[in-house]
Amino acid sequence: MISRRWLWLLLPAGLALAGVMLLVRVSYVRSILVFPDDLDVLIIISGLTLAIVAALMLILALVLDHRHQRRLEQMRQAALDEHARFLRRLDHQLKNPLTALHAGLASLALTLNDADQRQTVRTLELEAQRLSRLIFNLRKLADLAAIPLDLEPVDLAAFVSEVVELARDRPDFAARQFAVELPPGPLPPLLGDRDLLLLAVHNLLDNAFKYTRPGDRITLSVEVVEGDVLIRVRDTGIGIPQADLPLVGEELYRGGNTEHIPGDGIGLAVVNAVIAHHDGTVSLNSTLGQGTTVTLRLPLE
Amino acid sequence: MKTRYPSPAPGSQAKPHILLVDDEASITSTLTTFLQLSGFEVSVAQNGEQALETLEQLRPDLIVLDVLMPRLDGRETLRRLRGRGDWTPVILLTQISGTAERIMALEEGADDYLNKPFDPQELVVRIRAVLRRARPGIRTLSSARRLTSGRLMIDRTSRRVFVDGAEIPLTPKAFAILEYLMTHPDEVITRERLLSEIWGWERVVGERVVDTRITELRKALADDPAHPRYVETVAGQGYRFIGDVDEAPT
Repeated sequence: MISRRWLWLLLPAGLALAGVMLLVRVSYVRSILVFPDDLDVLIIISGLTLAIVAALMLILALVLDHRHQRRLEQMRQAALDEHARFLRRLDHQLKNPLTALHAGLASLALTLNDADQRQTVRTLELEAQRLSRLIFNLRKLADLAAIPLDLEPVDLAAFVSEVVELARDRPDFAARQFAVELPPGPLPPLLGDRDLLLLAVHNLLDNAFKYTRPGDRITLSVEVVEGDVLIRVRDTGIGIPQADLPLVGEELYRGGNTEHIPGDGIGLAVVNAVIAHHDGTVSLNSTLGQGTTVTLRLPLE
Repeated sequence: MKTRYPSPAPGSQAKPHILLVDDEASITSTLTTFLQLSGFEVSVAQNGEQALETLEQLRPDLIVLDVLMPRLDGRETLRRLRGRGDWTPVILLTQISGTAERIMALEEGADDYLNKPFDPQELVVRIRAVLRRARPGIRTLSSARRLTSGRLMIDRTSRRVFVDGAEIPLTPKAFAILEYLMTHPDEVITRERLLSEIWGWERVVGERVVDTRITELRKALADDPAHPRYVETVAGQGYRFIGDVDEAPT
């Protein structure tokens, strides 16, 4: 098939040709230039035909393209649904064994007298709890895309100060240079699920604190650009390896340079789910060793 | 051998008798041991049918009922139980963490519910709380459609709140908190528990979001935190509904 660019050229070219010949026919130019009989009519007809064919092919190409996009979207959605179903099944299958594990360990903890054995049981209890929490979080993540949003107008200034208050409770807060950048003047209210958005921005800041070292800078900024709210968290931390960038947003995936930092690989996946549910986008920029910037773009309406 | 048994609930003479209903043998065996160690007498049934049969002869103080079971699941068992006028307190062991599912569980007459997998200590805490507020033979508060406390009345079906008959606007979250506190009167509810029950997210953004909604609730109800009529802050622990709660006629 002829490429799209040629079709876009052929369409005006055909029309122009037909137009010029029409002009020639009606104007006095005809008396100067001598055409063989009816050649100009022939040129007009072929010019118009060319334009019509080009237009039809363009429409066809656009329709096919649209259908292709829709199929891709459907396939993506089907893959997401399958993924969510898988997580629900996993969650379901693990619930009963975990319940039994918790109950058995709790009984053991009550009956054991030996301090070492009690310590072992305590460790096992903590691990069982970790497993339960992981399953719970994965399940919640799968549900997040489907839960109805509790929409309300969110006062962004109050929202930011609440996020900052939460960050202030961290033991490592004083060890970073933390700054907030807000535009001068009032911010418009953002229609969204306040608690879920709080969770998303909190997770971003949590990552920023986790993946920076003492003395590093962390900046939270909010601005309004073209009817969208941009919430951005910049840090001068350890960064994300280039190869990991497309994957860190997936659940349970963690960057290759995070082995010594505790985490469950859920945080950014939650951010993605929350922002997607608000019809927003998440973009991630990072340079290894220099820092990371995450930008949430949320439509105001 | 000396064992560290936790002391039974204060004020109880005989050991409370629990009927545990679950089809998973690994759960009934481990939970039976734990509940016995915690000062309860325990009987076991493997499904809803067996539970209803057992209840012909046995009068337990409380039933711990799994929802998902072959041969008569927990919800149907509960429905039949309540249908024949049996108001033995029931704690449902639910599988689905959706709020709608929980509301349904309560509407069908459960006194409380716990999501699997749960901390067994938490089950003991819930059992004691339900036993404490149980009024033998009387419909439980958690299944009532309307609840009152003093001048306050909530309609759980339409999710509306009235003070002296006038409707008070509340956000859905604040309503859910009030409903939860009122169906667990006189019980200290931690912020963590409110978070996981109402937001569905465990220990996420800290417990501040709960405080924000409690503030909203108090403002709407004109409830002075220093001299509360309804919601009391229990320092370092959580919140407690201190008014007397009754079922209101519909």
